[in-house]
Amino acid sequence: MPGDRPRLLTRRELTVAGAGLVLAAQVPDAWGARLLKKTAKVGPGRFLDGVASGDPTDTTMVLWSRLTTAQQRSGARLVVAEDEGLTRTVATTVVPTDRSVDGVLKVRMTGLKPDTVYWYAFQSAQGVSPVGRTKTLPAPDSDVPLRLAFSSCQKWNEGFFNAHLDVLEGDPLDLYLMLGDYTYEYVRSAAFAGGRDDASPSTDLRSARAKLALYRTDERLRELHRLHPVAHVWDDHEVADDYTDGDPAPSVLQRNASYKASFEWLPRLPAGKERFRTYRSYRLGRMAEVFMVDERQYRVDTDQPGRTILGRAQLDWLKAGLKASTARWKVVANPDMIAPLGVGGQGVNPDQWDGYPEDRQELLDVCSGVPDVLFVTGDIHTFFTARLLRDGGTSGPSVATEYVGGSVSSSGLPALAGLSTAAIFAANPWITYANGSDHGYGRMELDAGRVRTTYRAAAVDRPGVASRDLAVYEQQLGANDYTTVSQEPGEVGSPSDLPIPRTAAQLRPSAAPTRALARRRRALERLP
Amino acid sequence: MTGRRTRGAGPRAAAPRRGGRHGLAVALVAVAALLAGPVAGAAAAPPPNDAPAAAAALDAVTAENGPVAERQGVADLAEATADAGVAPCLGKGSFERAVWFRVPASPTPARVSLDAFAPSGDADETPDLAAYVQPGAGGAPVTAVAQACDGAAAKQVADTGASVALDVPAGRDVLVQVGRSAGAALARAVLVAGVDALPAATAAPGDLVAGARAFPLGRARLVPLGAATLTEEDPAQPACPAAGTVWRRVAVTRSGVQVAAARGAGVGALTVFVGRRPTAGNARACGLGAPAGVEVPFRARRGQRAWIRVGTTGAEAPTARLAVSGPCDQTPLRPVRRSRVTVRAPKGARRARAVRLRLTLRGPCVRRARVTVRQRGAVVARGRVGTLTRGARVVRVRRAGGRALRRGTATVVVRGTRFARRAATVRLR
Repeated sequence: MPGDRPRLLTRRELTVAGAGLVLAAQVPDAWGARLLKKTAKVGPGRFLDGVASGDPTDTTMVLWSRLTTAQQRSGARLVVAEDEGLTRTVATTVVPTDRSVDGVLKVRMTGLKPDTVYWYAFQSAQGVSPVGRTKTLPAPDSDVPLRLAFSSCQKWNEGFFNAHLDVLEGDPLDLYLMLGDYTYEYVRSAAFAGGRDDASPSTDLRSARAKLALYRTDERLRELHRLHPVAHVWDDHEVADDYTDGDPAPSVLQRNASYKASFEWLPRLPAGKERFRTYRSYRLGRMAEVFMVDERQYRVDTDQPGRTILGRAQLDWLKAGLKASTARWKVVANPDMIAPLGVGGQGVNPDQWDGYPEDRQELLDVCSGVPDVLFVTGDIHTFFTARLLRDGGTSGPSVATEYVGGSVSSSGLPALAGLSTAAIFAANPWITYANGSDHGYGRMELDAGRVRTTYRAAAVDRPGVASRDLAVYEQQLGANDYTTVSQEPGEVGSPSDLPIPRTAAQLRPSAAPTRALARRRRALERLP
Repeated sequence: MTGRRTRGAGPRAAAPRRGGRHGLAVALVAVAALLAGPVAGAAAAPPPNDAPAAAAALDAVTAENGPVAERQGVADLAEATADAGVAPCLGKGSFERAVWFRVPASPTPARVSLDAFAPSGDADETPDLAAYVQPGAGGAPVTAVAQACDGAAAKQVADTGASVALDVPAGRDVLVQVGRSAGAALARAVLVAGVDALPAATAAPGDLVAGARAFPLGRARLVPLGAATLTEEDPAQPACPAAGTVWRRVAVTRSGVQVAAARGAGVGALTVFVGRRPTAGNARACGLGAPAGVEVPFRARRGQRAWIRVGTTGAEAPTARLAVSGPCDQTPLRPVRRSRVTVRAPKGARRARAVRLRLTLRGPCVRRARVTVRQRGAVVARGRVGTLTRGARVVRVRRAGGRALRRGTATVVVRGTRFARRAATVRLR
């Protein structure tokens, strides 16, 4: 009988039930009235760490500063303008900050014009930041020539960052590439340079932040960040020396705290939906595409199965990116040296690509079909210039080139100690230049027909030393090879300019632009 | 179709009504089950620290390059479950999955700093983080109300991460809840805990809600903030966080918008609660500390009790200058703008026993207002009219001294607390 059959719900009953539940969901529970979020407002804080810009596209730029305040939350007004006086304002916004990011102010400005210089400043309730300068990348269809620079390895207590002084004059660079070892986690050092002591190792979140705060008291580094857009990728010393070999493995705390602090203090935001993803590419018109490569986070060490320096996902991304790129020049910002570097058939440093020959060959195979790939490299504290040969890097035609930009201040690599330049060249004929006794950085000028790469060097044992040309190379479009324009002779294994060791008692408080900064530096260096 | 047939059967008309209620209940259960489905279906093997009673200790770690001061916890959230009976500190949808850690008690007061964030390779999402100060060390967990919390629901900053700092009295454990909100994909979170000893000192009066002193309306007072802490009774204020708190209570005497204000280097935030006791749900308004001070307008009715929570930053030798206004003084710590009163005599102002006057106030309130009316030098009427608030109001002033009120001009003087108006001339008709 129909009356005995199980009854189905009517549409009205379902509608009433659904609406009732939706309404119930809207009624705040006991916690619903809690004050969760407030509109960002300008708050207290002082600007002791300068300003910075980076992670650019042709229409966007990440702008950075930091508020020093005891308040757990604060904010600052950002003004972006087309002139240094900040009168032709193009954007203004209030940027919030809180203790979860150590007071960092960071915002990605959008809607900017390509290839345009902008000026910006932050204002809090207690002061105004220095006025920063930056420049957006060229439009995708642009053919304008480009100026890049690259550096790595700036150990605080092994020398002054005079390399950065050299880029402060003149127009903004299109991009300054920082290729790792922006800070050093350890404090031991062969020498103290010019009263610069680094007393605190970075092992956890607080000390990693303090390390960055110490480094950012350097006037040259601050000015570099103030005047040029920067792209940074880390190497090992942001965390621990050669930490990806797992010997010993850094704690989850040390590794992730270092990543977090690095993200906080540099002008970039995560790429994609992964928390600490740093690998990404920058398209600079039709002239060039820069591929930033992370050679630490995804590494599987040499003595483990499936060893890889980039990780499968990143290697596939890089290969696909190189193949698909329509830019004339493909620049790989590569923390660790890719050209083989060995003696007697043995690599001297398995921590670089020599420890990962399978990944290297996969990449060289791609380069053999993609012209005009240039690697700009850090890590090894030595200027090297090398051809990348198709077959394992040791034979076959040159399919790409590598320019290793020395170190900003870090001493020569112990792995190369005792080796002469002649021995290096004899064992590695694809390498045509080696110099570990000078410190500096690399410059690159790119146009439609050629790339001109210049190594610049300056002494680091005293501040304010001007840089000189160390070596100059030119690479013609389609050649996958370079010619030497000039180069000074250099030595590899015997750094000549290490400063004379000093005792802690002889240390003097470093000069700092403001009293507050001098106080902080004294505290961080633990000087009286 | 079946349902319609049943409803349409005349002899069984009563049954469908019963069936209708039953059907509604079934529908509610069905829809609720549908909504709750994803949560109920998860968590096959929750981690061992899935509940407050099983909170894990934080790990001390080593580094090859030097000593490590902070401690670490790794929160496995993929299989964690929600905490029944623990109200989610960041509102509905927060702490959908959570695990627990315990920061052991310190022999002295201590600043406990907690940071939680997604680790390498995980999703770029903000974990939820809450801290519960315990009444003692090693006891059963007390999770009635969180003292501090941060997370996705409270975030505005670009880089993701949650962070809280608490000044905790000596001998108190802190339970830490690390979770993720509904819809998040975060599989793990790293918890970093730092504990820094604070000088042992007597906490400022009002450190506990129970010790909150009565605070007068309309007056500014210095309030010591030294050694203020957070204890298990302090409800977290994610929008206006503070490391310690000092409480004052205020009896509201007039309905309307009142203003609490505080100024001082040690003021991190100011929050106003209205109710019998401050709870997580009755915070009415809050503001963050600033060099010029913080002002927090809030609405309350006469007879209600307002609780003023001065959040501290931990600055050395801190005091706050605190003031709470009634509905009149909208800027209790700033110089009062001069009030202006204009006087008119409406038609029919002159009455047998009184004068009716229309007073219009611009600017802050005038308290204890008194009106005096003179004719030919003699006082003909005077009286108290209470507090004048902004806007127009007709007041009635009684005849004085048995003097007759005449037609013609009169002079009117309005006086009040810190207010006096020059005589105004009106024409009585």
